[in-house]
Amino acid sequence: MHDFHDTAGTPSVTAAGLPGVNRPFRLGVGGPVGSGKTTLVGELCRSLRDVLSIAVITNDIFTSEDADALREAEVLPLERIVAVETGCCPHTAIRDDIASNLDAAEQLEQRIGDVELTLIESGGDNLTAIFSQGLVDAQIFVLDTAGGDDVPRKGGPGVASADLLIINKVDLAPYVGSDVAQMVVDADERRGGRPTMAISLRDSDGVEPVAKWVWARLLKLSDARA
Amino acid sequence: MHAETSSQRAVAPRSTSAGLSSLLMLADGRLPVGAHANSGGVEWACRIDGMDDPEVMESWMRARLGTVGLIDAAFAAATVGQLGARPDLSLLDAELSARMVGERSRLVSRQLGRQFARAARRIWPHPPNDDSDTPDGPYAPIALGMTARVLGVSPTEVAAVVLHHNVATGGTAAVRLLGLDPLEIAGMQARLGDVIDTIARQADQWATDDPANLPSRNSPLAEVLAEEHGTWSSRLFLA
Repeated sequence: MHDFHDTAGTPSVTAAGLPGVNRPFRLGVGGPVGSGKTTLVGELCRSLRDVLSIAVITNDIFTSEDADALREAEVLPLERIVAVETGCCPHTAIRDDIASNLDAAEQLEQRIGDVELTLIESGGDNLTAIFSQGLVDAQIFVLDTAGGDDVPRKGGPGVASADLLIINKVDLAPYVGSDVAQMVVDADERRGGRPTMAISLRDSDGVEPVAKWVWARLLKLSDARA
Repeated sequence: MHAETSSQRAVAPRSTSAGLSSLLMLADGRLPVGAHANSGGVEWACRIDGMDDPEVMESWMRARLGTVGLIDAAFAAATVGQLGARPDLSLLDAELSARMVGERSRLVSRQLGRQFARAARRIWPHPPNDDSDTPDGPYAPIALGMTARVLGVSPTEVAAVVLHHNVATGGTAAVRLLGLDPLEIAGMQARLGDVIDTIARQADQWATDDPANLPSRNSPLAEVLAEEHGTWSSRLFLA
């Protein structure tokens, strides 16, 4: 189905294979409420689960909504998805005090044993929310085209510093009067060369460029650690 | 009179910490150990009619301090009192287990303890903070006690820290969940200071007691409610 093996080779990223770094690649997925974070995590799982051992941690405001959605969609075996409580403050749990996420990640990765990629989805939050570098190796920030095309211009830590910015639901642009091209230009101005993708995760292959980006990051990390 | 003064002088240094800045860090709710996602039972208690009345909240807190808080404070103090470079914590662990009937309470305390120990190992690298006696993680007050012990924090001080967090955790959750006035809650915390100080003054005794004799007056209701809270499909707080 995918050409990850053919184009990129099989990276040796299992925890055991990483000298000096005893854990899998951890990728954060953040962004405002309703922008498509859970959909992205689900699509990434579908796209990469045949080539990678994946675990997922969700940080929904209510413990298990997102985790339940992912379990119901059967994107991964149930035991690979856990939810953590965020005490009404999802941004605190991924940025200021990452203790419960670290605990969940370590417990889950230890229990499964061969995890290569841990996806950590934040609860829907404001534009200042970013993942701590103590928690993730890289992060994706997801915006909704229909959430206002001035959001990339407004910037903020998530828009400016995420390793990958996704402008999702571009199919809605004509209905809500959003200028996607301008959104991308505004984002580029704030991102110092870091990539932005304008996509629709509802397209059958919408997640493809994101999955390829994740794969490339994994290979890079694998090389750096080798 | 004279004799009393000199005996007070003899006691005073023991109750004062060698590491005041370390003590302040342990007492700071911003220490990243995951406490922000714990409501200390308040999330469930918000279902009780009248909990949005600060007076009801205060009496609930008072009861909490005299039960769950008392036990946790005693076990943190007892941990500080352990002798030797690498004390065996299994007896304290077993005694505290016996005081928590509900599986959920034990699970939550171990998670908080693991989180504390993981953070403490990074912040203050020190050998005795080792989980080998308790593979699922130390209980929260024992984890705190182990670090306090290494930092030279006294039994009284660590007991006060535990009780302070007990009130602060519940109070913060009440502000977030019920929209209570944060100044009202801070006032409540100040009023409960006497209770905290009174309980903490027993800590020197707990530090040397046989663990079997440590306080055991837990709240069966708190245990039942924690168990029930653990079954909720939608929770904002760990406990």
